[in-house]
Amino acid sequence: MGMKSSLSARIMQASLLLGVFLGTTVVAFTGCGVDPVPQAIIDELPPEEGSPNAQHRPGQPCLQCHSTYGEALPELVIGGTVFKEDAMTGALLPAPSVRVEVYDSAGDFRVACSNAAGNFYIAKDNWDDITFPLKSFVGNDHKGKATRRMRSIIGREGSCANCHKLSGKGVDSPGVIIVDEGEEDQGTETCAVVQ
Amino acid sequence: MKWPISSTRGLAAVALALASFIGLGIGAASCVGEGELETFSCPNKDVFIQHVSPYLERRCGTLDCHGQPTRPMRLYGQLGLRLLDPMALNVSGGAGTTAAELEANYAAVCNIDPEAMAESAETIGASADQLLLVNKMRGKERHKGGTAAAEQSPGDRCVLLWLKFKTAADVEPECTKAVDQLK
Repeated sequence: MGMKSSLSARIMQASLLLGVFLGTTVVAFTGCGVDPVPQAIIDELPPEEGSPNAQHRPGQPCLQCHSTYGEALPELVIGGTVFKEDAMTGALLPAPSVRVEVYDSAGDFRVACSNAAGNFYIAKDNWDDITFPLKSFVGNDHKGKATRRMRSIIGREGSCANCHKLSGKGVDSPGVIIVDEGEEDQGTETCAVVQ
Repeated sequence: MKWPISSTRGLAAVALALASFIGLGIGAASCVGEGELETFSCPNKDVFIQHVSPYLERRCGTLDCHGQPTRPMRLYGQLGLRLLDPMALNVSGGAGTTAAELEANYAAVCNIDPEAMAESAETIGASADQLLLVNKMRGKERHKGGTAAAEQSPGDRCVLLWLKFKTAADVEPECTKAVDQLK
């Protein structure tokens, strides 16, 4: 009888402990608001170099952090990086002053300009009612047209780097956005002036 | 050494539970990979491959939507996700959609709701507009990508006419119109 009581007591105790543990875990996780999918991507990003600014983390998925979930400011609706290739080595270099045009499904559009790091973005407060899918164009032929058109639409992803991966072309990526010399805005063109 | 009765019963219960789990595991494992793949009913494959898939690839199969390996109704295509094929070495944005990718797209679309699709196919598309595929596309059912094709839009008609077993001559113009809007 003594042994039986002690076993029951142990089972009760173990159940209680398990319940407390599970309860605490659930409360802890829901309390933090951790979403495992974006959090896993954020956790895999390399550490920050210097202090965060508009030129930081080129080629990385901007909206993982610059979003309601990531809480980094400014909150963005579109963010990406334009590169050019070093003619000798083929190494990726930032492409500043490049014009990026984004058209939404409601007929609205915005123009963004790449900065010294090649980064470009459109803040959420500049296009709060953006309607996906989007079409996008990059570069300037200096005759009033873009030099490059993204052949597919953008379904619902604001981070260009989520598809245009730094790791290069593959089954799930067309590679990074690359322009050639001369495709950037020049003289009095918008993105040349912004710089 | 003598075990108390309660402990012996406890051990027996644990052993029985373990044996049950092992048996369940072996039984479940033996189901995997055995027997033939199930067949499925769906409207005309050629019409899908020639006209419907090119539209779905462009509208739904982008890398940020159904062109993701983790999405249900995974779609492959030239401008989206490529089927892993060591012989083809295709990359997104590279060579045209392959025959294997078109086959995979057909299987994915036909099996998103296989029983309802089979039922619709048996009635030559009489219940096509009740399919999950159509309701999601029209935004009538929760869809993360929102309304992909409004009712009676070229994209909607492209898919619906195929689901209603219409001929390529009927389906092609709507699908072409729908694809052109996405270029």
